[in-house]
Amino acid sequence: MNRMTPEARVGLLVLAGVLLLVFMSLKLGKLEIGSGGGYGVILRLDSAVGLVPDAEVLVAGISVGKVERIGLDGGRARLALRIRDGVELPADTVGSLRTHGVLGEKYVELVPGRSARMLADGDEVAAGTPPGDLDRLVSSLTDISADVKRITERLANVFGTPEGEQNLRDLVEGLRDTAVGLRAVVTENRAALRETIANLRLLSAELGDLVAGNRQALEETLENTRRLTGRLDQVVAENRDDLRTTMANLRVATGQLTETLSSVRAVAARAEAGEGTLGKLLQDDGLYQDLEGTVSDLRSVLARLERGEGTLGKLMTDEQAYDELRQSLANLSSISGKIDRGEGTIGKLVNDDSVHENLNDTLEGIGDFVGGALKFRYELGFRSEYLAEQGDWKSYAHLKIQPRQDRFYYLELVDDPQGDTETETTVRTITENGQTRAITEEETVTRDRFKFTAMVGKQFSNLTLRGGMIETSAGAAADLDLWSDRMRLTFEAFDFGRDGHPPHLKLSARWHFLKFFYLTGGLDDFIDTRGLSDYFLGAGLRFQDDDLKYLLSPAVNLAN
Amino acid sequence: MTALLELFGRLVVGWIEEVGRTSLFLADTVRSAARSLPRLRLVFQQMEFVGVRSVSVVVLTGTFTGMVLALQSYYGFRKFGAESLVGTTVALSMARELGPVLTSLMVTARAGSAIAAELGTMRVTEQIDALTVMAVDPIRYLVVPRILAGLLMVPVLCVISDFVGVAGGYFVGVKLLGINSGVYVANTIKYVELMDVFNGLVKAACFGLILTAIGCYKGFYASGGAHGVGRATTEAVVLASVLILISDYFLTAIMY
Repeated sequence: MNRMTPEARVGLLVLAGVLLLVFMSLKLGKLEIGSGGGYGVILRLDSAVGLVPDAEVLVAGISVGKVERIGLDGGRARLALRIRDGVELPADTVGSLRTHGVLGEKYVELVPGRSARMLADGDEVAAGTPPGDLDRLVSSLTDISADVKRITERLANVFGTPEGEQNLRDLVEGLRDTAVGLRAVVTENRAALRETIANLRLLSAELGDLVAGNRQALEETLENTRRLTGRLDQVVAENRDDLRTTMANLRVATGQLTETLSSVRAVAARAEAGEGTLGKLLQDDGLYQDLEGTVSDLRSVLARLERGEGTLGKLMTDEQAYDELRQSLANLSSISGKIDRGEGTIGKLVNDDSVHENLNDTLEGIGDFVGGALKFRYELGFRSEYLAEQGDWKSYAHLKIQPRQDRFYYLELVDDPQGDTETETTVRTITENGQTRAITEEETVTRDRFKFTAMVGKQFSNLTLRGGMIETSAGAAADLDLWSDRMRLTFEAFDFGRDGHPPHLKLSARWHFLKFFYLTGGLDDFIDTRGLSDYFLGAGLRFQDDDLKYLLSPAVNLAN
Repeated sequence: MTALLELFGRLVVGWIEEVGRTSLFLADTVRSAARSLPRLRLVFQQMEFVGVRSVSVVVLTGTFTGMVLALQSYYGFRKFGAESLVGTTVALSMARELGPVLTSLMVTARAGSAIAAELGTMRVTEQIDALTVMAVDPIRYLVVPRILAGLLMVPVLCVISDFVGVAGGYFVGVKLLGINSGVYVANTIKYVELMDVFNGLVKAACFGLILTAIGCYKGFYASGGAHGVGRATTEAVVLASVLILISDYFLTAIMY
């Protein structure tokens, strides 16, 4: 190589510079996790001292996301955490603030629980126990050392002075003297003590024999005595009130008897004289006869009653009515008894707790279901594509239901101008000059009609696979999201059974340059052999999530 | 007393004249560049002179700056056990400050002085007047390619300086001082953001503009024979260096 031109040298230098810049960009740019990815959860803490935005969120020491926002919420710190997609955390996960080392930076630690339900976007994480704060640790250590110091000071006061030391020594000496004295006493009286103990043992043995010999008799005597006193006691106790009442009544009765007797005597005197009504009654015959007649009438009425004549009589004498009444009462009683004992449906309803619990569970289940429905994400959209070759519009309206971050159901209604393209074969018989010929006519018919798409989809990072029914035929599709979901490439394959023709393949790109609005374009049916291949341009609208959730929530409120 | 006042006034007036002439010179340059682009061949020649020929000196200064930074910060950080932050310190300082500033100071010393001497010589030997006579616009022919070269090449040199500085710091920190290489790299990547590098490049472009413009201006208006050329060269280097450091402060204040 002779001499390089100035251009070549400058070019080399600029290339080197650009390469280095790209290298550094890649190395440093790797950090920037797009805020669009992942899902957000909320953590409320008593204090977020020292925490900065973008601090790490760790699970078991592994970084799973970062702190997106730190705000104040009613005197507590409210942290919005963003967790990367693909990191699933149970719903009973707890979070707390921690520090790397003693002087290190703060981070948020999440400790996963055991719940089967996983955290979803917007859920709240419970606050865990606050970790040992350095300040708190130091202050409690200070308290402890103060206590220890006080105790040692007291001990020093007691034992540390010469007086205390003397006391202690005296105490020990006194103890030793006592022990020595005790031992001496025991040694001197050992023989006497042993004898006394032997005598005592003998005495107790004799007493035991005596008692054993007469146990039966003794026991009986004691038993009889006990029974007798018991009975006496009972009699007196039972009749004490009666006795007292009887005595009182007797006293009153004797008093009244005296009065009565005196009145009777006076009346008798007046009656005898024929004075007053009674006197006349006693003297008058007519009255006596009336009385006799009344008495005989009364007797005849009673007789009829007894024979069961008349309504009252029947009621009184009809055994059946009486039985029925009694039966009814008995039934009523048995029913209430059963209810009380928890038999039968009502009884169980009234008595059985499990019914109540079941009812509770059911209501909770309904609550969960409705809550779950609220957590779903929804997307509603509409798009139109202009098929250039065909010069006609194809329109789609769709509803996407996303129960989980990475799974969704996709329903779509398609208005397809091309519709159904099929070859119809008609066989006609023509009778001509006595000869019958069969003529076969083939015709390609295209019908404008509605088609349906219903698919289940699953998302793997930025690749989405869908499958099910596409435009009223079996099909599958794949989507690739680029540029933080602003660009989507889609490949669809469906309509495999087009008698002999290749399946319908569609390749399209979609550019979401606004939140609700996107442009789309691509190739339709590009391997078709019948000239149906086309390219298209179009635009669409889509509404997601929150806008829809509020639309749906009145219904949910009613359900609640 | 009046003489003193007169002297002071003349100084002030001279200074104001200087500012005005510099501004007019820059305005001429911009107007000339906007009217029609200079010949590419000339631009490439200047880019080679300002850029390519400065690579060796920039690589040397960058590498050793990174190495000494690592060494110094290591002794400081070791006192409280933060050796792992040496990489961060080196990379941040290189990307934000030392890369752009040292690169443009080196280019000033090497290319800025040469530009002033070249144009000054052309001025005192009346070559520039000859160009004017031949109806060649001297600004379009001589000044615009040099300033464009400075504007474009100094950022490229700055990227190289950043990189070799970080590499030198890594060499000293990991190979000589025994900091764990994984921690060193992880901390560097963790705390340095792309914006740090980009802001450094914007600074470098500004400095490139300053140093070439000052060199051209001082040379273009040189007078007084060989002595005048020498003075113009010295003035160009001093003024450009001072302006680079002053504008560095204001650019930093605006950017961060």
